[in-house]
Amino acid sequence: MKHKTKVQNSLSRRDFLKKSAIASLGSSSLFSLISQFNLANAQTSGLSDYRALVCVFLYGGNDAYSMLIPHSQSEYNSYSDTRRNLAIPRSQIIPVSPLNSQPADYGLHPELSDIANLFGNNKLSFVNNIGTLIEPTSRLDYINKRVALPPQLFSHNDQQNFVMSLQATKPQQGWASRMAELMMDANGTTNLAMNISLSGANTFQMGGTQSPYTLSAGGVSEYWSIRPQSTEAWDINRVAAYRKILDQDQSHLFAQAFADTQNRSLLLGQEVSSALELVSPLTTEFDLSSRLSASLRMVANLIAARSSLGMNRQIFFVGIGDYDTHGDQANRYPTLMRELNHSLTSFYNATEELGVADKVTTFTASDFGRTLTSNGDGTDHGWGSHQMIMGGAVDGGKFFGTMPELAIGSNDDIGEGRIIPTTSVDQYAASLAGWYGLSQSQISETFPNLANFNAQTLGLFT
Amino acid sequence: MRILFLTFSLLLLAACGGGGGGDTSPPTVPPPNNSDVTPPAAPSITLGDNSDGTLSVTGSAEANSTVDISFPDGNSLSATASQNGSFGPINSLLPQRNGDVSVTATDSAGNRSTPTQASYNDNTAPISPSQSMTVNSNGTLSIEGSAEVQSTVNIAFPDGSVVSGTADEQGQYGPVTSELPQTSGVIKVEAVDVNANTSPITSNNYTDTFAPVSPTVNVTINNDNTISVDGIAEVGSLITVSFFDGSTVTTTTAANRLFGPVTSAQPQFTGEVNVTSTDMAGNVSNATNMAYEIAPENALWELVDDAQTKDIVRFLNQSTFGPIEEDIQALVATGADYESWLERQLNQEPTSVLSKFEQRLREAGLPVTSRANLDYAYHKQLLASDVLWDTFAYSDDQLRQRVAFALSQIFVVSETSDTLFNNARGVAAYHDMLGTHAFGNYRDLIEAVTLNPIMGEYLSMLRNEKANDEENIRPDENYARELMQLFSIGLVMLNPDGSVQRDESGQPIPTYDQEIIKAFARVFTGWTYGNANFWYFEGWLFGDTINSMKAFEALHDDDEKTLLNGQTLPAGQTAYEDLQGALDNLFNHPNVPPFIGKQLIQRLVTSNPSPAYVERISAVFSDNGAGIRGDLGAVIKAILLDEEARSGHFDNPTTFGKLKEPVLKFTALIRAFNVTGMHPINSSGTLRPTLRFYWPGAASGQRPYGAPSVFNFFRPDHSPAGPIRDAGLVAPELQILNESFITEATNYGSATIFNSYDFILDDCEDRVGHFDGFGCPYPDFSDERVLADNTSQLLDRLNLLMLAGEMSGITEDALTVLAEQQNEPRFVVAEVVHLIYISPEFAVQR
Repeated sequence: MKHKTKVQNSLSRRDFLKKSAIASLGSSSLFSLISQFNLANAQTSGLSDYRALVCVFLYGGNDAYSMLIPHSQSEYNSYSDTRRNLAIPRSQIIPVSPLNSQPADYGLHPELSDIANLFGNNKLSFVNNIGTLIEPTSRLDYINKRVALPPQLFSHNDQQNFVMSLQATKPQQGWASRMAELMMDANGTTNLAMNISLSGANTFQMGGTQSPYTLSAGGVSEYWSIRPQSTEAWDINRVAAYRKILDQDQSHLFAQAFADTQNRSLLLGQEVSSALELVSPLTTEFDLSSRLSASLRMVANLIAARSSLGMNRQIFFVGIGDYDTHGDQANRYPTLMRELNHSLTSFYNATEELGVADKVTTFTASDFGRTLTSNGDGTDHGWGSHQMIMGGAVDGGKFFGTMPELAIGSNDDIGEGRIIPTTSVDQYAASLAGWYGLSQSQISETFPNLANFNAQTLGLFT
Repeated sequence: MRILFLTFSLLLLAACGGGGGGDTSPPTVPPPNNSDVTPPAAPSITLGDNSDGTLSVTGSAEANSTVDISFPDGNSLSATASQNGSFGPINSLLPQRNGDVSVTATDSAGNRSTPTQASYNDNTAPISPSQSMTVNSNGTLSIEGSAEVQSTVNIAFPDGSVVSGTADEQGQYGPVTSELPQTSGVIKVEAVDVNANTSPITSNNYTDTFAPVSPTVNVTINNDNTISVDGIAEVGSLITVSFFDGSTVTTTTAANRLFGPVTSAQPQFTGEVNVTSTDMAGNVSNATNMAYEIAPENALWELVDDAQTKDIVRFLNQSTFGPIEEDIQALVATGADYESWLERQLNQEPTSVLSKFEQRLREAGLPVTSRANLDYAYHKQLLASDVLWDTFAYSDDQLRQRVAFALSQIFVVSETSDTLFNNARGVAAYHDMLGTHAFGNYRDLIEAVTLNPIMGEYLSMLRNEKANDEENIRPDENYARELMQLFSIGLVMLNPDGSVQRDESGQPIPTYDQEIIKAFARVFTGWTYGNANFWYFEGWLFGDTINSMKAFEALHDDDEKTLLNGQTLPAGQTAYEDLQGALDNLFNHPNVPPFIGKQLIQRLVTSNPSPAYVERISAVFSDNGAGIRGDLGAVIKAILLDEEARSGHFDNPTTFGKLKEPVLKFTALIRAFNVTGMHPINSSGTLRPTLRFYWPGAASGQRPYGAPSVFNFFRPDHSPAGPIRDAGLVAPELQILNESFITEATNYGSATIFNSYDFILDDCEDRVGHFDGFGCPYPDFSDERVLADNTSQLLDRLNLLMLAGEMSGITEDALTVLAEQQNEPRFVVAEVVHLIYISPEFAVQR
């Protein structure tokens, strides 16, 4: 980010663009509509406890069959017969021992040693063979087309949108967005949305009346040229003129959307950066060369600033790409796992450091699983997959759901090793929503497909 | 042959001259045999001309005497008089010129007569001169050769001009050079001796393969804004004058080399005329390009309320990377003649980003083709980005580049994926490929995309092999799926107006299923790098990332395949035959015209085209009027000239148009104010201006060739919740308008604008190297600063240039107050441009 420093440096040579220092909260400047009164009150209104959900979305479709792997010899043989050149050598698999007994032994990808430790310390569990479903689906149901299916199975953006919204028809609203609307009061009076994205637009948090607040892994970007706090004539005159321009009614809907976003950004940027400035630096180490790790560090900082921000419930979204391993999977996948391993572990450690480990639940999600069969040097779009759920409140060290048979032509396979999910994303989401604080009726309202499944929740929490 | 001939002539002349010059040894005479001491009588002689120029001497002398004849050239011959005293005719060995012939008779006793002298008057034509030709680098001809000694040699060149030379004592003339460049024709050479006898003409044909020199051109702007052109060029050449409106006029150069004036039929606007000279042999000169400037009738600010001018600005927003004053005035001068503007753009040569990039690599001292040093990967990516921004901002092929940018957001490849790491050169070539096909046929485009090795890497068609049961491997579905879903037909059946076809239960009808994907996946097997000599060739360092992939038939699945609409590819076809069949199958699918056509409308004109607009474009896509499907040039033209493109904002003022994507906002700023970049110091120590918008693009959510995935920066159907979704509309670009991106976009724009303060620049110049820094872009506000004292004129100018004349009264008032609070032109201008740039009004292309 040298480039940015340089520009700021060069700008700072001009008096009128020098870096703004926000002296205190509750400024009465033009863009700061939030009052100190509101910030103070936020902590006494709404809920009294704090809970946060952190969604780590693995864009592209995580090949979970390389993440959680059979270790018992016969199951391993079946897996490696199918996987062939992409099978992880059995000797490299890190064995794990779930607290709840399983029909076979499993282990983790060799890069997931810290995740294995979190699992062993009961801070993390796996949810097995989970995927997008409208209703329970068997192989014959699928072949005979006798059940409703999510739209456009195997298409990235359609499946991402379905995982994130659990709605089959457009326009879709994300389930985090729906949850936020139902829990609106939890955070009292504040301008900051319950949903915060470290990765830009995502269907998970969008589609409702309130957009997620978006910032980057580096934190809130400061405006270099619009500085409401400044007392210099340059700034005062400029801000006054811009205020008039931004506040006028725009007849064009897109122009109004721009004005709204700019206003929100100016207002919230100040608030959030002020709050972040008050946070003590984390001692937990994050590898900042990883965007995932840096984003999770920023999430930890925002959680640390929850009181100043008046937040009791928050949903964070962090997306990370390049999981679409059609090619060169043998080289690319270990890199992805290494990053996931250290990023999730650092984040868990940070929540421990902040004393909120049991108030923060992190979960993974992805477009879909991948084919069991190899296309030569990679895997293609599949369906069912495994996910991780992590946090002090999680019933850790367990496997939830049912392990599929990892063989071609099994009852779980619709072809090429595309595995039919046995647990739906609805059930997963509903479990998370229950912990987050939605009532049973709110859960039913939020996840309409849930009624099609016997188990409404998965019992993921202690 | 000519040289041999010449050599022979020279030798002959040398021998001859030698004999003539050594006139010292007397003729051999027999010794006296008696005591006769009476010299013979002087001989009587008669001179005769031979046709070959030799001189014959006939006469009588004492019987049996030896007759010595000395010719005018100094050579002598001897003969013996007969019994009756006659001798001759004795012919000189060589042609003779004027002079004395002297003849003596010597009897057997050795008595010599007094000489008989006769004056010879040469009445014989010289022999034909030889000629040898040299073509000079300026197109003139030089002739040399041999001719009668001291004769005047006249050379008539093909253009009719005659240049003379003189043969020297050795009979050598030249080289004689034509005054002007010559065209094909006959070169005639004659020799004229001192008695004005003229030789037969030597003719040689000259075939002119030499391009004429570029004409010298004068441009005159007439009162009616027509342009007259005159000048100087090769004699007799055909002059072709191409005017800026695309019309051409031809004329012929007169003998005095002058041509013209020729005058354009229509008034012209500021631009250039191109003039070429084509000689009679058909050789064409380099064009002389003469730029001229027609002073616009009105200053820009005077046109702010002119409806036609406002539409011109809209048109340029839709068809270029941003309006500039010159383009606006040019179109004003033609009364908004968009058709001829488009024609010119359609025929504009594509910029080669790859060539510019390679040039930049050389300047930077980086290896051009080698990818061995991974440390350079980022530097190369940065320099390739610089070149791309420079191309977007300043290339002449604006429409082509704008369309290529649109295509890059449909046929997405992205460097953010590891798969394209260290491939900057290939990505530059990929962009050029899109530019090359931007106005070509969609069918050719998808074939070029499909066979491109960068796409091959990105969507893993490269090294995709047929099923191998032993290894339990089946074909990779990646490319097959995205080609169908994103590059051609989409997921659901469409009507020609872009609306979705639904079944009885209201569900969208899918275009294909998993079985079709598997069939297409099998089609695209067997391909790898074009320079691979075996299948497992490791291409990541040495693979050819520029040229098309090639097929290894053994790895291609050549079994029968069933594609869309039940069409089958028979078994036994080659990889390329299968690929052609599959692309034809997609190309002819009814979804392609609305699927691609609508997205192009969205990228260029409006997010929400009416169904009728989409249908009109689909019709052109299906048939360009000449029975050709997929003519993208015709589609682009139809999109921009459509009545809805031109007047949709009147019918739907609150929704027509699109949010300007980040790249287009930056380029609009760059172009409107001629933003130039810092001058990083090259390895050679020289400076080169660089537009470095790599970071601004990335930080604002849109770095070209840096989309998060093949699904681009935003989806064409993105519909943000709220009033836009409630109105049933989409706003794709709003998908990347969030707090983070809007802040950075605002910052980099404002930093650029405030860099117009000169004192900042010195600071940047010292510090910015090749690979570091934002590059301190700075605008040229000189045209604005002169208006700083007149706020209303300044705002009118900026209103037209930046907002197509749609500035609201409130904005105008706010800016007026702000302008009047400043006291220096540079502050006034920067403050005002800044707030317009970050205004909601500028954010939308209406």
